[in-house]
Amino acid sequence: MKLTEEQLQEAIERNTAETGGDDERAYQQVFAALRRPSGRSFSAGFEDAVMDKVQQQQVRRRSREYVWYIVGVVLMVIATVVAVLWTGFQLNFGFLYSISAYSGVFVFGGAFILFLHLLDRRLLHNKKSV
Amino acid sequence: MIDDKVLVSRVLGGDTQAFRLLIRQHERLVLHMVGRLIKNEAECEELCQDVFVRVYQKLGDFNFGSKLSTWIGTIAYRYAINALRKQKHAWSDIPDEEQFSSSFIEESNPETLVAEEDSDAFVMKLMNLLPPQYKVVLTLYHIEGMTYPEIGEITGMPEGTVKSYLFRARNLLKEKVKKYLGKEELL
Repeated sequence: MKLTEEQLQEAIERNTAETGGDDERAYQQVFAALRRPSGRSFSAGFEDAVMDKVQQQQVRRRSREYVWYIVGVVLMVIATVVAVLWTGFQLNFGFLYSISAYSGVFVFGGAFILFLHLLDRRLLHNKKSV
Repeated sequence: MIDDKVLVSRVLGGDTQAFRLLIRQHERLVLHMVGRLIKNEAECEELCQDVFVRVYQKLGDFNFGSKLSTWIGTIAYRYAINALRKQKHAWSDIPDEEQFSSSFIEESNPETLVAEEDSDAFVMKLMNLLPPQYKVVLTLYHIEGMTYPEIGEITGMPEGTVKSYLFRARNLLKEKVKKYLGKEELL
């Protein structure tokens, strides 16, 4: 029975072809060559070269982030100055005088925040680390 | 062999030895993938280095939706075809099937290709004359032992196209080898 090209390829792949014809011989040769890995390989310092490139990229990325950080701060200062000049805003601490008589509230508020912080550290963080 | 998830988490944790191990485990795949399309050795090695740098940068995005090797193969494939495009190589569609097949089988003289090399080298030289898509599919299937879905995932080709390219590529190589075999017997 004559096999179709597709059947012949499948048979060669499964090692079950027995036609003995030219097509089979040619396919055997092709499949054998394709299975053979190429003799190419990387140079000895390939891994080191990759690691060097990774490090260089990290340095470049860090300096880029630093530049963007500086740009952000400068832009924020400029925006603040423009907004103050534009709106004629004047800083006034007068509101502090009106609440200066309630210093006990501030002390309690501060102490309460510290207490919550302490509880957080003692209870929650300890549980997480277990 | 270390589990992919463990390896990836160690690399993401800043373990450079783990990344070196990742390179060693996948360098063969990347070399086969890129080397099959980029012939210049220095350029190929440079490109393979860039592939691993990209892997390092993007490893945090890898969500184990596929095998790590498939994901790395996809990056290598994209780098290789981009490099081909930069070299102004045609990478669009496979040339007209019938026209390409007849010119591939008829035109170049196998004797000039084979010279004094063995038959495997002869077949590999013929393979280099095939369109890049055929070469990639042949390499991933036969040398890397990948499945049709894995090849499809790497190349972005539908599974049917992968099967069809593989069939056509092997058929073209067979026809050429058959022609050579005939001549060899006459000698």
